[in-house]
Amino acid sequence: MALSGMRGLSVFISDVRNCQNKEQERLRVDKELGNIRTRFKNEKGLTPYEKKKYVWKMLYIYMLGYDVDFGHMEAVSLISAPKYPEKQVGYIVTSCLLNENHDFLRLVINTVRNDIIGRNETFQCLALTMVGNIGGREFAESLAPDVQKLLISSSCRPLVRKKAALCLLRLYRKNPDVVNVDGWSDRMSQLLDERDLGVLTSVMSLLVALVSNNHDAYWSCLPKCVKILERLARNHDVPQEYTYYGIPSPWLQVKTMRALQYFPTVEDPNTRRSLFEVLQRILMGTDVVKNVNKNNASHAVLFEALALVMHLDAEKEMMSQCVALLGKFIAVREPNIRYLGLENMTRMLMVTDVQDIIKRHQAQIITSLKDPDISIRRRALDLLYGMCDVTNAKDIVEELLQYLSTADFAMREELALKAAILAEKFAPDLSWYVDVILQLIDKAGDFVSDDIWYRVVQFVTNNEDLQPYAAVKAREYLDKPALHETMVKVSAYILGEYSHLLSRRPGCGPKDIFNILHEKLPTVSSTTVAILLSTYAKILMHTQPPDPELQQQIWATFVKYESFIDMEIQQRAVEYFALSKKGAALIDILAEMPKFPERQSSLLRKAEDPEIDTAEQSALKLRAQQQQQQQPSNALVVTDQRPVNGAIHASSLSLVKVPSMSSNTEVNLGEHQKLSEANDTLSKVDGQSSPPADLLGDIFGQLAIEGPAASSVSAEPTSGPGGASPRAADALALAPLAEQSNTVQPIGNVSERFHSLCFKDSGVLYEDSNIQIGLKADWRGHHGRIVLFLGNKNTSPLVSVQALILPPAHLKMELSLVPETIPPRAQVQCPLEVVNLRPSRDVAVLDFSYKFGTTVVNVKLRLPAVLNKFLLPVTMTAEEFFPQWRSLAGPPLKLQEVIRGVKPLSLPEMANLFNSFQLSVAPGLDPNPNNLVASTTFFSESTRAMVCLVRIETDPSDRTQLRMTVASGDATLTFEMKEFIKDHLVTIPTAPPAPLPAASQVQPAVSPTALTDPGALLVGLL
Amino acid sequence: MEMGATGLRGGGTGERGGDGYFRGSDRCPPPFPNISLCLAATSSPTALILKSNFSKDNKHWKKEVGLYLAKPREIVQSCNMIQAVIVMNTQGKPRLVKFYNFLPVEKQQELIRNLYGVLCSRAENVSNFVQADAIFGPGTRLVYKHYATLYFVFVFDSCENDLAMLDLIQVFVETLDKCFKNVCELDIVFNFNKMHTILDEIVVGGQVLETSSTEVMKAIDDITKMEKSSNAISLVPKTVSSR
Repeated sequence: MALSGMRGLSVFISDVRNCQNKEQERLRVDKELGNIRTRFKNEKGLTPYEKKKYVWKMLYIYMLGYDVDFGHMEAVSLISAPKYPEKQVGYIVTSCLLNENHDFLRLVINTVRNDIIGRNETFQCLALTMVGNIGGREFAESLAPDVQKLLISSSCRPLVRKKAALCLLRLYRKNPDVVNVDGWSDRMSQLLDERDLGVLTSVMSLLVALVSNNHDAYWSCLPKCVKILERLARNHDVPQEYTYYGIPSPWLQVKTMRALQYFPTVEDPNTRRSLFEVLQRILMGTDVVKNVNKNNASHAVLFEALALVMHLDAEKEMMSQCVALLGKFIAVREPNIRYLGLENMTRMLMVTDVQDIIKRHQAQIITSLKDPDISIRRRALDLLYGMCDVTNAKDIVEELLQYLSTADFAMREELALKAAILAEKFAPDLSWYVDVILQLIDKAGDFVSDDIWYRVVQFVTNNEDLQPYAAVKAREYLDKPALHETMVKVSAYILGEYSHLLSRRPGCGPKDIFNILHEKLPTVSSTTVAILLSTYAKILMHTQPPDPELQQQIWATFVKYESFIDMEIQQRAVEYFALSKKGAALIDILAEMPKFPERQSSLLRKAEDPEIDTAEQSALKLRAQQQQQQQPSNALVVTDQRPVNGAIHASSLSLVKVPSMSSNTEVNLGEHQKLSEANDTLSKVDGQSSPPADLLGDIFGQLAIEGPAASSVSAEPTSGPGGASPRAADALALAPLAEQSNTVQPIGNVSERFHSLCFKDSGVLYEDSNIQIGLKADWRGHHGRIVLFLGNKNTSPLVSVQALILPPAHLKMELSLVPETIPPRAQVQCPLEVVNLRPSRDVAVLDFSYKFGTTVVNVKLRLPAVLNKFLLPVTMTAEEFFPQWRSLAGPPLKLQEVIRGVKPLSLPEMANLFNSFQLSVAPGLDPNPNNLVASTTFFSESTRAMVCLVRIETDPSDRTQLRMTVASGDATLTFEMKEFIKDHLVTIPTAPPAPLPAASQVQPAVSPTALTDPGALLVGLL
Repeated sequence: MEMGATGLRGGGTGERGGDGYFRGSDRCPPPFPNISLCLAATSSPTALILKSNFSKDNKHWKKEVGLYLAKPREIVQSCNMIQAVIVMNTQGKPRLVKFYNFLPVEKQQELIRNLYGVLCSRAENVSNFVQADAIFGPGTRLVYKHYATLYFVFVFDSCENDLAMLDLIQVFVETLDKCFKNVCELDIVFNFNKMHTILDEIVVGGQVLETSSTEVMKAIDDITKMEKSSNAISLVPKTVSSR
């Protein structure tokens, strides 16, 4: 019967479908997982067929979203099954379930290879597909040559060869070295003569990958690509099965044109002419038709042709033809084509001289902003944003503003930001700019970031002509019944500064302004309250002669906030109240804000540096600025400004909120001084922050993305991570010159460095006055790769550099060539390959020597290629652990020893120690709480991946002794592992127990960066 | 349920068929109905600006590639490939999930949930493209096609041609249709293993392997013969489910 094959699977799927809710589904799945697990346990009773069924079930459960953390071995082992159905399941499920670095893949590498080189085509296909889907570095290394052979073999069927092409592509991505460029470029060229379109499509994908990495090597393929394009698009020389809705293999056409876009240009005039002929044919010969699929296919080709035309920088005539086409597309009914039309028009903007033609379609693009499809609306917005310039800014921005009130929430923030950027970039006059931003805040206040309103304030402050206008506008908005808080902020600020310019107008007297602002006070958040308080103080100052009634009101407000819970507001209230009693002196203190230094808008910067992540960007800039600004300022300022600065800092109780810009700091300091002179008692209370500084802070605080951080830097001028190390290094480099005649002493404790490196994979191995040897290691199974970074710290070269590895018997080590001379302040990297042959605790030694001047320095350094580097922690459940534990009975596979004189450790400490060895402690596995059980996998060539189990029994009354049992499938491993752990348990007093304490012991000697990355420190040196 | 190559349902952008057979073919409630809103809110403006800025030198393809490499996020590990093929029904149940870069299962499920949130909020007669940056990381693109009760989704990076991907979905579906003779969701549910086999004949390692459904069918027929000859899987007839 047809069903008998997979009845169990069908029933299970049916059951899952019948579940009423997620909970039932989970129960059913758990039950099934339990069932599969038990069946897999006693594998003896399992037929290959049953195994296959369970593995399919696992994949189904996995697809439903449940973690399947067992049975991987069974899936993988099916790959070795002799019959096709089992093998197929093995391959498919393995490629879905396992990560490319999964250890089990190593176990089947040989089977896979045998399938690939074997005679059975179906097996070849399965293996190639799986390898192509998973990728894997190890696959790349061991299989690439065989896959290449299949691809170029003349005896293989196309079915196999096309898979080989894609498999090779994947392997190439994982490790580009698998394709030898020299020989392969000719091969590729030959492969492009292939007649079978299936193979050709795959080969073309491969070519795209190769060319995108190195187009120079594949020049010879370029004419072939043009030929293929001619064959398809012009001659329609395609078998029936590759004609898709009447179009000759659109995919191959697309891929071919994609490949051509990776060549910088087409130089040969004949080829270029032929290519343009074909492109012209494609551009002209495509029409929108009724059949959707045909439309999609023909336009796929067309859009690719457009991209290629743009890439090739065709003559203007062809370009305008393209724009005309796009213009047609953005108006068609077919949404996909409209979408791509808009998108490609945005790309087209980058081509010179076509902007004007694009502008003709502005109305149509604006219509697309109202398209029912959000995808299209987004593209339209992108295009409008891209095509905006001085001539059409007003129209476009107004259009965006109008759209803002109806736009989806998903788009509003972007829309607001873009409108603000465009308004600033292309404002024909500043009053328009102010209008736009105020409208923006009014319509979409929630989506207007602070950056945007800070920027308006900057503009208004810097342009006197603008101030009355802005004040009038702000006043107008305040009349609106519902006001966004950002609007309150910006109008409060502007009116505080400039409302006195309007005082003659009706409804703009100080009292009116105060009243209307004061209405808002109860409903706003504390940041806005702070701004309002400043505004009140300003209003008070500008009211000349004083209006006693207004004064009373404002004072009452200040008094009310004197005990407010928010410190900032409380402080402002207290200070403004005290200041406002000063009478005429107030005018000096609360004078109008100075102009802001010209600076690039943070918005525009955001828009212009799109590549850099904003956070990253600010960090980078900050660092650059620190280094640029700090050093000169140190030199210049010391005599003059420093003391002032220092005094202020000293008098302040905590961090002073000083804005970062130096010019402003001066102003503030000046005012601050006046302030303190004016009133001693006040300055004592005040010390913490002067009001003007704070007003600035409102505007400046976040406006300058890099602002606030910089101010904290000024507090610790020399300890910046970037700035400090070069100087520190200079100092180091200078000192040894004096003691040159003496022998060179290592810096830091060499032995401690070694021990700490035993537990981490990068750090400094050795350092003296001339050289620093950093190390970075990467361990995979029984292989390891250590890179030694030899950094010359001096300004003269180190000569006669020699590095010799003295490997112990169990390690195979190959050090790449070490250059004899290390140039001044340079760093060389020497990779060292390590293969672990068998378990042993012996340690490799690096015999390193160099000559500096006349001194010969020779050091012998232990290399941290120690036993625990070849361990990979495995977490085991009780069901997995105990059967193994029991099966390893007695010596020599299981050894037990009572160890005395152990450094007393609590159980959690011991667990930490074990985890740092890569021994994974399984809490709760041992029923006795005083015991500890751990497991790990050890890798070596002789043992392969071997599980190693450890049990520690402690005596709570005497922590200096314990009983340890170690078990593994290899006697040597068991012994070595036992001794290794013992060493670490007993010698703890001298050797650093865990990475953390180790790090802190070394730290004083090395600069902090060195610990994280030796490269970083060395870079600092150079 | 008519899904012949000529009258293929949803061949366009929105035609939506539906008969009683499909409706309610799965009784689980849609798992996360409200995701679309929170998703919408996460699209950051900076990420969006990225898309509209292309370099002057017309090397935008490569440039974008560089960008992904510089900012590895979730799925974007290597470039120029199909990242994932997902088939799910209109209630958000996955029917076929294939990621070409390994992702842990929780991550896969999260992506699928988010994806569903976006897809189910799409109206009919709109384009087949969805901005997927917010779900799959910057630079990823997404093409989907809606057939009766199923969404077919291809996620890829900007180095593939959008419409060509859409065509590929069509090829996939046409092949399924040939294979199952008027394919419907139930075929796919019960023969998900067969789906994997078919997909493996169309896409390998995130690259297009075969674009002719005739050729794919030949390969599939060979495989079926192999299976039969060694006494194994054959298609599950639709009647099973009604029992």
